Amino acid sequence: MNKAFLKRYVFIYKKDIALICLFVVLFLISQLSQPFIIGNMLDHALMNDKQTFVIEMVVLATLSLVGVFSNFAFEYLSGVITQKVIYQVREDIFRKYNSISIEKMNQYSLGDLLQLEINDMENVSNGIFALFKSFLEGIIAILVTIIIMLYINWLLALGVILLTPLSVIMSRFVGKFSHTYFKKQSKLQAELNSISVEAISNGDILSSFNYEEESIKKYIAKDEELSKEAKIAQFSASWINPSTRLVNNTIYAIIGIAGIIMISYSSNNVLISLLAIMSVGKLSSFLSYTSQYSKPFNDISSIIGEYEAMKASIDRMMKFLNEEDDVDEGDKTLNNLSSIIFDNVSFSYDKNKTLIEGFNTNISSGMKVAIVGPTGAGKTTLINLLMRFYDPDSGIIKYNDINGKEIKKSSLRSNFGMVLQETWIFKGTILENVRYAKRNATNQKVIEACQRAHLDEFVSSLPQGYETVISSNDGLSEGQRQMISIARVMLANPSIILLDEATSNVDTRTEKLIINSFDNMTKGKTSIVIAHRLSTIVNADMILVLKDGNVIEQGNHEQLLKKKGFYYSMYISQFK
Amino acid sequence: MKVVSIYKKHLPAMIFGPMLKIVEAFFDLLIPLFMKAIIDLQNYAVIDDFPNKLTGYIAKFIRSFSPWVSDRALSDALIGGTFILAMGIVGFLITMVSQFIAAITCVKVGTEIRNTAYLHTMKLSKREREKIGNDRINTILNNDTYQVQQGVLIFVRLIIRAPLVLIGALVFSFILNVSIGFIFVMIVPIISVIVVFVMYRSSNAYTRIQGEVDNVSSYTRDALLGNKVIHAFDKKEEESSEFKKVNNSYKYRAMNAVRITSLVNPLTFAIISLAMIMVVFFGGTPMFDNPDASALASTIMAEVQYLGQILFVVMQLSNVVLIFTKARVSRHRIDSLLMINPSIIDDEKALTKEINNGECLYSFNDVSYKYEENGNAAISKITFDIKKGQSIGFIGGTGSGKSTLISLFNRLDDISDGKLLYKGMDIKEYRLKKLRDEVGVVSQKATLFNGTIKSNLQIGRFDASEDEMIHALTISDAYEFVSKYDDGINHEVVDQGKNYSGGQRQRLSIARALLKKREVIIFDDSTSALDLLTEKRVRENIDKEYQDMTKIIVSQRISSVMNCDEIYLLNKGQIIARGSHNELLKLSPVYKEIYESQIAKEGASL
Repeated sequence: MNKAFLKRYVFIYKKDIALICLFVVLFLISQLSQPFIIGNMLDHALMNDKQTFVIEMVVLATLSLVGVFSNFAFEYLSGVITQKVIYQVREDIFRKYNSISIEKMNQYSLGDLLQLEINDMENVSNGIFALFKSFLEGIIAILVTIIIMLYINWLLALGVILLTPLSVIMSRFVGKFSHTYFKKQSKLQAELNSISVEAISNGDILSSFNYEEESIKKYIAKDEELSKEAKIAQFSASWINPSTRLVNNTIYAIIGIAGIIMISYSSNNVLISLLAIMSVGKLSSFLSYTSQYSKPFNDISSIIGEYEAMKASIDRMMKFLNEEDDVDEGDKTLNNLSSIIFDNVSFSYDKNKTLIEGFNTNISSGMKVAIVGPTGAGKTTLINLLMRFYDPDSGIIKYNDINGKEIKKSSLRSNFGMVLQETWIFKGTILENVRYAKRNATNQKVIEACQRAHLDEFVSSLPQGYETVISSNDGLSEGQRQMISIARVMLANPSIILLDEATSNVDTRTEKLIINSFDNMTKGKTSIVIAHRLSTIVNADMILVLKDGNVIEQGNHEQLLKKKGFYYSMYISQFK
Repeated sequence: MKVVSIYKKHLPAMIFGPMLKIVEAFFDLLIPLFMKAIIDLQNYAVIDDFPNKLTGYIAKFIRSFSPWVSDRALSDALIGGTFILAMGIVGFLITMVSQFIAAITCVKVGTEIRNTAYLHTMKLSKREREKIGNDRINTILNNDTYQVQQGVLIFVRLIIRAPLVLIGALVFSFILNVSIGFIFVMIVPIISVIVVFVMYRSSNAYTRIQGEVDNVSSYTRDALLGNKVIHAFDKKEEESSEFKKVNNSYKYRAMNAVRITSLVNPLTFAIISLAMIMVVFFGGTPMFDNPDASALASTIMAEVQYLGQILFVVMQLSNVVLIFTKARVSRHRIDSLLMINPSIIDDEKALTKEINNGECLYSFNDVSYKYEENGNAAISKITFDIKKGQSIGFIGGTGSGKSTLISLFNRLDDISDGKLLYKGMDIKEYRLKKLRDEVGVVSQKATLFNGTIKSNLQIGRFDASEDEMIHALTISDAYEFVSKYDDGINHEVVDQGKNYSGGQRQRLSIARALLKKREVIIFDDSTSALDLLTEKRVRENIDKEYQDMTKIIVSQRISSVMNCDEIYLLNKGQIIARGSHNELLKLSPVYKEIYESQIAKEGASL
């Protein structure tokens, strides 16, 4: 297991772990001595030894109390430590999400990152608890049982030690066998599920094409397949209980009969009485151990899976936690950003494919710049570079004539108001979502911003208005989500506005109104707009036409139309 | 059809299966008695001296076999032992038959319920499905049917066995020793109460924890999705301290659960210990100065075995109760789905009809549509005609009622008010299957199904040949990229078509709709992701290839509808203007405004 993880998160609870060990030992001694004491009590009763019987009774009662208390103590402590570990790891991972660079984050998929906090955490929590409980408890239980059994009667003890693993092997074997079928079953279940999910969420399309019957046929066929595997899986799993019962009954019979024979003979056969003395009491305790002995084995073998899962999860977590933090070498602050210079900038995400090469442009103060071009031309990449989510492979970007690398990232970014095509809504009220841009803004200011984003008409149609709770996956349309992101920027009122297809899903009339609000806000300020709809950018001071990472045309609308080049053909196509 | 009627079909198996378990349960109960009888046989010379009659009978039974070895005591032990082994094996074999019946029956029931539920779901309209919720339906199909299946499994396995063992163990313990029998009778309810209490509390605690996990999950998800925005607004610290709150609240709940679940084992241990102490005390004290002490000792041995069986069964039964409760809740959920009567149905007696070009295909007369009985009308009092062969455009912003209107054309929804005629007949009296064969819809979302391009096109028409497919792809301008794949139309579609761009998906779904010969085809914003040049190409191809076909184009883009014979401008569920493009430019200021917002002024003069 990962040593760094143990050292950093688990071993800091040394004292508690020592306590857990102590309580486990206490518990097991009191639990496992029970049959032994009871056996002795029977023998003493047979021998009419009242006094010892009473003493043993008191010991038994006391040990039971100790057992109850120590059992609770160790389970509780194990649970508490597990939760403490989880809490700390969870927090550290969350912190890491925001402290490593966006570039690194993008190397992970959203699902993988989310898994670290949810599924992996679950695995670790199950794993640590199982380790404390089943493993620690199991190993000690086996040791203590063997010692007591050997002490009572070594011959029968050998019998138990040799025979009992049979039941473990049996259940393990059946378990493994049925596991393969359950795996097949859950795979088919998932396939069946995907058929129904797909069909139900697109029911309209199926109905429109009269395709329901085909879909039902497909479903039933898959369900038949599933049914076949499920029958085998269920039946193979149902061997576990009866077969372990059979093995246990067999062992019980063998040990019991052997014990009885020993009792009969230990009184008159010297050899047997020399080998191992037996009595009814001893046999009684032996039979108890026999039935208990297989439990820790089963416990331990059942946590192997949990342990493996935990190990894999911890490795994933540590790999992520060991990612280097984003370095911010800049120390200068930047206020009132107005001019930006790209000086021979080259960049690519994948070192084998060049994307932007030798890019030059000069955005001077107060300019309204538009970037157009087909998908994959590198428009969004320019924004990533501008915001320093990524750094150029070569070349320099200068902000107000300062090299970008010398500026503190947070200071640089605070100058921009960015609205991306992909919107971001978190779970919270509309007010909270907009206020995100400026935590201390008054309600009045937030609502004003929403009005300028023309969000108020939509909001007023909601029963709870601005207090309506929204989230990333509920009924908002893409256009409405874009308007919320726009309201955020309206509230922030930054030095430079950066719009990347920010209104692509807003209907064209509302879009025009929003653009007007932006124009009012950015009067005299620099703005950079990426747009699909050419109608929104015709009055830009400078239009950069991007294709395959290069500026192929540059100028204002009239100049570009006169060129009769790529821009012209894009523009003219809307009238034909 | 309710779930119960599916249960009923399997009634014989559900009675016979559990009955088989009686044998094993009985044998399990006999084994401790046999062991006691064997021990007593070693201690008593005459069987009639046995203090306990029942063991006496068993001893006589063992003795009735002639001795296997010369030593009488050894022979008794061996014969008795053989019987214990034999009972184990016979019990095991019969039980496995029952287990087999249980496995087969439960899977059959599960499968039948799932198929019935799916069949029923497919009959429901979108509105009816949404009332339950798509997620819920999927949970019903996957999870609830599984819960019911597990319920049936446990029913067959344990419904007779568990109570029988419990009662049998109690009865035998009474027969062996009355006072110990009383102890057991007292202990059973105490254990049951504790087990149920702890189970109830801990399952509550877990539900709450699950809620907290969901919170952590949704907060984390939000933060990951907003990674860029968080950096852009420089909110790292704020996010971390907000997360701390979520994390703390999780920890609080988890600690609560730890407190409760840590009680389970100690409490069980306490009760077992108490029972043991009482067994030894009440069983052991009479042994002093008693000639039958050895028989009492062997009784205690047997009683300890019965105690073990009782504990095991009580645990099992509490589990059974839990599984049955879950299965019942699931059964109600499945029933609630099966009880919904589908409203949009295909009346077999309905008619079909052919009409000629120029005749009225659709006639809307004061048509209104409401999503809810007393809600606002999504469409109110719309009146218009569409003649066969015409091309019609609908234009309007978000919330104008466009999508609702489309769902009326092929009866994905039925109108709430007014009259809707198709080919001169009430649309409800037209064969639904025929209607949907004749009316093609290409939706804006352009959803593809997992599989291949070919399997997606087959949804359009199952028996289409490859040539026909390629032809349709060519018309929708999709063959241009499909032909570039090595595997052509067998190219994979994964993740609902996410491996294609929006424009590619739209072109594929246009081809899908074109495969069947249609009376009318409706384009629902279905070229929104195409660039203007491609859109134009597709439109021209369709116009040329399908001249007679009626075309209904619904769009936000003026350029998509400006060539239509007639354009309707929709706003808030009403038609506010109608006419050709040029007429509307003159007549409708709103239309003109939209036009200008999309097409820059200078453009008009170009």
